[in-house]
Amino acid sequence: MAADDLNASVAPQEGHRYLLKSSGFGRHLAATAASFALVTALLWGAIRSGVLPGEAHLADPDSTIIATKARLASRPGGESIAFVGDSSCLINIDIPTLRQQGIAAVNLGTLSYLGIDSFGLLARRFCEGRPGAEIVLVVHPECLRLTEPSVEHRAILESALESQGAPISGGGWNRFQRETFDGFRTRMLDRWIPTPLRGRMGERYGFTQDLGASLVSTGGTMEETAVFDAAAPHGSAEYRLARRIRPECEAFRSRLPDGVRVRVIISPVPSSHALKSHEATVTQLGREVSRWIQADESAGAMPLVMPDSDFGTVTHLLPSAARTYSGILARKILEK
Amino acid sequence: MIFNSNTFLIFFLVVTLLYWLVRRNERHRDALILVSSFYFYGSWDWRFLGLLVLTGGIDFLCAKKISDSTEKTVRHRWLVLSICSNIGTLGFFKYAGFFIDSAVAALEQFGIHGPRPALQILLPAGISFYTFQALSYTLDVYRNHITVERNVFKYFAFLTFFPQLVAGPIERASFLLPQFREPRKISLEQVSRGVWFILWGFVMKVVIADYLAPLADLAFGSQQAGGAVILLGTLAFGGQIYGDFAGYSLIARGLANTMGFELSPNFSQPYFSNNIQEFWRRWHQTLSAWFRDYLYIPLGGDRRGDARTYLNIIITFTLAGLWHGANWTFLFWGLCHGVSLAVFRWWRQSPLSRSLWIPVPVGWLMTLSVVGVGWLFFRATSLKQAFGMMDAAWTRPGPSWGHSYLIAVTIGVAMVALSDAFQRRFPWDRVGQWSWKRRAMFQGLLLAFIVARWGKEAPSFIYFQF
Repeated sequence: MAADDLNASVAPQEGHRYLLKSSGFGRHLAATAASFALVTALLWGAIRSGVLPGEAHLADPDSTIIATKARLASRPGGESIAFVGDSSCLINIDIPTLRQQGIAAVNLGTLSYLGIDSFGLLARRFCEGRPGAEIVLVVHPECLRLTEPSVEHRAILESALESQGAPISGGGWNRFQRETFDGFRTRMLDRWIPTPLRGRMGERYGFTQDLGASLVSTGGTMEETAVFDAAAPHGSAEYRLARRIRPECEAFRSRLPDGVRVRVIISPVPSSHALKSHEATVTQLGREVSRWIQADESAGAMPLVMPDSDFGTVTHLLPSAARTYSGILARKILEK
Repeated sequence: MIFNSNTFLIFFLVVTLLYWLVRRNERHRDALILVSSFYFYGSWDWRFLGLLVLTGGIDFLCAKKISDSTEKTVRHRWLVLSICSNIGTLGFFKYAGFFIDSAVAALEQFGIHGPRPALQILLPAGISFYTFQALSYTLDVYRNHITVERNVFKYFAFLTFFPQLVAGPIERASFLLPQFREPRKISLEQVSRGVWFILWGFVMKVVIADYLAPLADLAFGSQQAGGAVILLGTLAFGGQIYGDFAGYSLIARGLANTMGFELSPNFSQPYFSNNIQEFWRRWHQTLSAWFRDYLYIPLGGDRRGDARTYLNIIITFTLAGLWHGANWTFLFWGLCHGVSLAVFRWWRQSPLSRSLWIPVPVGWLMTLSVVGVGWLFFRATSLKQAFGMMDAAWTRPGPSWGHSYLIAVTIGVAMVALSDAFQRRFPWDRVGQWSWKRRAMFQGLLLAFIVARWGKEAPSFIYFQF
């Protein structure tokens, strides 16, 4: 066998051959990229130039809740009392029950991630143009021991109160998305295309648009749909005040016009979750918060512990219990 | 690692660069495909790589023995071993829990109570797909439709080719394996086609299917869903599963094209079908063909009289239903389609069909209705839920968010219809004729849609669970 034949028999076969020139393919890719860049630039320009309307704040439940509360706070109306606070306020304070008792109130409760200082922004907006307005801060003991508030949630609130686009934090991909495609979606598409909610909230409210509409129609009250499971882990039942609470309370007070009356309510916990010392501890926490906020009185007379069957979660009452709780609250307000 | 993730994009970029580097050596090419496919598969759960190698290795050996022997009984014996290995593996990992639970439940009906064994068997990704592809190889060797592959690397490169490993298209060895045996010639047309398919596939998955997914979840996960929401939810799921699976198949074909390979088409705008038979010629074509060639025809096909033909159709589709998952809902879904196809066949052959003309839109609507009822069972978690939802569609009023749901689903269904109408009007044969500028402009627009919907969380493909 000739040496050439031997080489031919062991020489590896070619795997594949590119029949395309890199310049031809590169031209295709470059043109596609240019077309994409053009679309992106158009969106970026439209957002930057302010041609598009402000953000609709309907992309997710948190944005929807915060933005709706900002609208409720800004809306002129006959309400003289505003409840501000975390999600225990959002869910436990049933405005229709208060209205039945002749109390003109609005629920501006949002989420604990916002922090007490941010609740003050909503309270201040409510007080503008409402002489004699009264603010009730409703917080769950859980909220008092949380660490730093969420910057993103605060940005949503500020942008909703100012009806402006939220400041864009971070860089890279997120910033690119926010300034182009996400920006277009939150400003335009979210106004026309309903955004579905997930899980229990989805089952109850369906879409963010429906959640917003429901919050407006109920004066800001939202319903809890979960059923409390006492056996499930619920975190520590020992409540305390985080260090950040004092400056936040002071900032809250400083945001309010002089002479605005403020009260503080600490939300109840399920009986199976409450330690023996719970009422004493929480009453003391409430007093501290009231002092820093310069509240007129602490609403210590409101229930601090309620039966497990009244709860959906550790922080949220079921709708029927929220009505009962709000009935008690109405009587306390009318007594004063 | 799933196609619609940043990890996969990086993976594929690296593979493409390495693929260019190994172009001069076939063995290196096969080795690269094999290693990258193993890496791709191992990214789900590396433990199942052993199973893939074991079952694939048994098939490789069986096919070799079948090919080496001229004795019918010997060939038959090795074929049976290959079938038992594949079906046994599939049966254990996918159906063991289902059959045991069903048997225990059946015994309890007769008052015989025993402990329910708590089987915790993880389902290897893509097992239904690769076992069927491996089976087609030994069956085709047995039938002398293809020469046996003696190079184990080439064989495993064919079996584990990553674009189609976990969710098909289920390729015939006679179609795909020969492509590994000769040098691939990668033309500009093929790469352009691949890019076009990849972009459309991502549009179908990321833009359409992922938009419809939470809408379908809302209807199927809600205790409040009733009235028209059930119907709309079923439509949403029909659009979701189509966008999801057809999108995946297009991406797989596109990826293979950029590497110089061809994969079979899996979908041809099935929702434009005017009868159920046409639907199955357009829906998951490679699975339909597999069941036709390896089950329906061996059962006798349509050669043993009408009654037997109807029975063969029903058996084939019921088993095709069960192939999708170990649940009575899938079995019932397959049964529904089998019965519908049998009825359609009877109708076509009856004198009635010649005297009673059914307008095309009516045929289309009837087809969609049958397919829609099927999707209700396919998506439900149990037969109880499926029948409960059918009941709720008539008896329970819709939820308060029904109006928003109608708008949202209408937008989703319109996207499916527009996407299909476009692909039907402009198949690649026409798009390939466009000027490169026109195509690039359109591709840029598709890319913009994809980027706009590209999320941090990459929702998986529905068919990965099968």
